[in-house]
Amino acid sequence: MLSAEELQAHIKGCVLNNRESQKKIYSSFYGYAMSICHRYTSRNEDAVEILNDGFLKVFVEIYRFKPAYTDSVSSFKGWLRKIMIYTAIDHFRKNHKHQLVGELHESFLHVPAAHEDAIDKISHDEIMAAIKYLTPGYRTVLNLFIIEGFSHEEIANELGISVGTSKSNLAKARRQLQKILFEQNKTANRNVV
Amino acid sequence: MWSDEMDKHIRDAAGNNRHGFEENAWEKMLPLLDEHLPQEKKRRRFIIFWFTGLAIAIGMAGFLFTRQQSFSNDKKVAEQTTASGAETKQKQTAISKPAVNNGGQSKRTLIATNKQENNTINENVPYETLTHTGNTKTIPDQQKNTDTYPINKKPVPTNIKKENNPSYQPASSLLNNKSRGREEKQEDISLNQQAIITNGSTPENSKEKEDRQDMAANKETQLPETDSSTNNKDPGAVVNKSREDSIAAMPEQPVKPEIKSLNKSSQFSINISLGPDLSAVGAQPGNWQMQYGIGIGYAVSRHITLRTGFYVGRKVYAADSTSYKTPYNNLYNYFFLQRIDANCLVYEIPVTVAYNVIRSAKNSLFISTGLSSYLMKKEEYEYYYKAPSGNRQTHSYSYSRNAHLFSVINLSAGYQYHFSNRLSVIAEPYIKVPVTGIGNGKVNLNSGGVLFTVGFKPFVSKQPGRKD
Repeated sequence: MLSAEELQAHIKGCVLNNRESQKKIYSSFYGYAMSICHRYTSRNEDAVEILNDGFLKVFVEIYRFKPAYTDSVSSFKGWLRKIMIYTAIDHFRKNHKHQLVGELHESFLHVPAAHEDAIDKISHDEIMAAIKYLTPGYRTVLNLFIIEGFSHEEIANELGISVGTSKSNLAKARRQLQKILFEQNKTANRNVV
Repeated sequence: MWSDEMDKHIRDAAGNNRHGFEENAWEKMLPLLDEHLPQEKKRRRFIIFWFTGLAIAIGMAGFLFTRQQSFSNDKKVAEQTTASGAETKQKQTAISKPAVNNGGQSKRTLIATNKQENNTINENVPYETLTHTGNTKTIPDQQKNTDTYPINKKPVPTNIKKENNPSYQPASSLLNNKSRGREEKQEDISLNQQAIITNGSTPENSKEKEDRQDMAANKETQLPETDSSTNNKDPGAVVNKSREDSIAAMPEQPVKPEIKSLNKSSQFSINISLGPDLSAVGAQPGNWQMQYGIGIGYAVSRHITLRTGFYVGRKVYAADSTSYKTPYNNLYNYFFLQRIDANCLVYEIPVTVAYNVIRSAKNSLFISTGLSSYLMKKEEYEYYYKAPSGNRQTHSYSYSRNAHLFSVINLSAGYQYHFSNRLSVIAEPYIKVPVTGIGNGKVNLNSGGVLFTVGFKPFVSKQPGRKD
């Protein structure tokens, strides 16, 4: 990871459209950005596409970047994260918007709780793999609500849906995620046995 | 209920999820960068291309100008040769022609006439009928009659017909009065003073013809007696002397002023311009903005001027979603887009040709056409769109890499007032129509306005009478 001075120097290079600086920033923040993009798509190719579109926006707008905190690296990561999320949303709206479920009855919003023991047994990799198996609409809403911390109102604004639709998709996402994790866990136990 | 613990677990999983750098991802990134953020060498290439094109245009203009100059010099030499040849012929003719009159006596005296272009006749000088066509004067080969008429000071009209005009009748022919029964055939006399008889009208008028004939008939008795004694003694000497006097007194043919070849550097002018500009996409007009810049002009000829320059202005306009083509990588691109407000800083480089339709010492009217290049220095857009939830949102976006080379047709007409041979002002209304889409949204951006220009020719010397 780059230091603050290195980052500042490479940002100046990117403002001058220097390819070396652009590649340095790209490679340094690739892992961080890809971890965001990978959550919004099931295919690696789509994740690379979202990532590259996001970095293009970064390089185009980098002359406007000003660190919000004293820690310029954290500020840049936060700015990069925001761009990647919006790029992923943009990608979803272009390709999968029709896969959002409409509003559900209140009763369907109730999701049975998972046992605490079961939660501990689920690894991070399994969770991330399970998220990839979600329907694109569920996956996007779940990412925005649980991981990114968006409110339903914000999600509704970004995706162009109603608040109720956002809630119903989240509920569906949780149910589906539980089911996937359960199936994964069940398969794993069978293999162990 | 879904527990918060599960959410925390998911967040932790997302936070710990890491990926290593992949070179093939960067290889997919490079074409995007080359397309949207091209390297400087392309800009340099554009500058080289632009200057090369300008150099070629100036070179061609200079070639055409020198060719025109050589042609006009050849023409001038030919005209002078013709004029001097005609003058020589006149002199020869004036000296060699015999004097003939009705009475066989030489009465021929040439008068000093046409001191001026308007052919005003001198007083108290016996004369022969003369035909005057413009600046040339020819003496008839044979003259059988000498006629004297009352002096008329009125200028001869400039529309006097030439002798070879079949409808034209020389004054001497009017003397062929049938009532007098003259049988002598009047040859065409190339020098006739029609104005004396007709008071400036052309002889085609039959009534005037009759008047002349009447006058001629009436004046016959008034003809002054000639000095027969002088004529008897040496008619030729008298004629020759009078001819020489008249030739000497004859005004020289006006010499056309030499067309000095102008210093080529004096054809350059520096222009400083300022004016309001209005941009519009479709039927939605934008906001008026000021445009300013500096340019140079080169007068290839009296009528044609090549111009170029560098102008800065803002294009402020609004477009609807149908007029604006958002690129895929735009943050808010496709859905529920209602309106886009644009504010773009544009550098313009026009290359135009102006043609002087009307040109005088002080005033000129011209038309101009050419192509302009737009360099989009900075583009800022506000996107207005409406979500199904009813919220209306905006988003700003800035992009500053678009260059549209020779992509805008430039049409204008103007009026130029010359304070002096060095300083002038121009008022030039114009319209600009794009050939390709402009800016990030590839919009059909039309512009119009008026450009006020102060032109200065630094290499022209300060000569009050000299005109360019």
